[in-house]
Amino acid sequence: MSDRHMSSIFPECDQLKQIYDKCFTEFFQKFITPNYRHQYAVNPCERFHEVYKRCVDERLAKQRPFEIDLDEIRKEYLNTEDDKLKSRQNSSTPSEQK
Amino acid sequence: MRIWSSEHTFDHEWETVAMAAFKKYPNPLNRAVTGIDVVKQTLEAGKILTERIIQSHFSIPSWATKLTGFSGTQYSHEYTVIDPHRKEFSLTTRNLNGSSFLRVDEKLTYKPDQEDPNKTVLKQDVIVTITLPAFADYCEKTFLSIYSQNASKGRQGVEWVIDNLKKEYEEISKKVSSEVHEMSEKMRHWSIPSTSSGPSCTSSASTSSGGPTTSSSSKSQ
Repeated sequence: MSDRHMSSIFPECDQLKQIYDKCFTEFFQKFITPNYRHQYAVNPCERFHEVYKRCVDERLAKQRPFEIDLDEIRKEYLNTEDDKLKSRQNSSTPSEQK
Repeated sequence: MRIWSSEHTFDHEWETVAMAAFKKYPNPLNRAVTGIDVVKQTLEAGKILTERIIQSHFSIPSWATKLTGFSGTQYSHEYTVIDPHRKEFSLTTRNLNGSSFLRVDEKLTYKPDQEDPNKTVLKQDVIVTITLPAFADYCEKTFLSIYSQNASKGRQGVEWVIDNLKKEYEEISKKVSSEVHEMSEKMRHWSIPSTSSGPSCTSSASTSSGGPTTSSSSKSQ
């Protein structure tokens, strides 16, 4: 829907990013509306993301544009947002999954 | 360590602002951002969790490059949680370069205005910690003064995207609305180069009159 496109950091991955972004933006527009069934939604563009992410991961590993290990940052978030999310999930949904 | 906080109200409902904030780049007000990659995007319990790597280019003085080894290309990590059920969009950013002497933690939250659901409040906090043998306090101050200027540009960027999305919708539905005046008002705002005579940590950013409101504060610890 948008002709604005933010390019990938790596030109080689840009085409894969465009395909993924287009798919996810279309989904996002529906997802953000109040009547959408958010609870059980999954990323419908996951297969596009896998291909695109592989391209990015390879280049990040090879070129190492920054010195910080992303996993370290993730650990910090895991101790905050995700934990809160999980505890909320556990308390609000009585362990039945659909 | 220094903390800068600010609050800004957008004259649009949460869905509109969330959509624009999510698709904020590219926009003509934030040209420093040159590349973004989505390294993770999952849905969990009705929320979208996203991790992105953001590449930006800055023009920084050569003495700063010599002093710190900082080049003009920077990377940051952004973690966002979008919860459409609770209408909450939160965004956490951390710098990925220069971490031995600089740490910038930024947190933004977009939520509906409690008094007016047609408006959206953006809360913004940034913590900057610089560990240099000298001038650390001065550098922190300078950093935040530049940051606060950029923060106002960031908000104007979101407004620009909102207009842009509106235009895209209008084109799709082939409707002609009478928002030309409002649009040209905004164009006027972002096309005028910043005329402020010098950065100030505490000055609140000027925004369009009558519309969105902004307040900001800065303190050192």
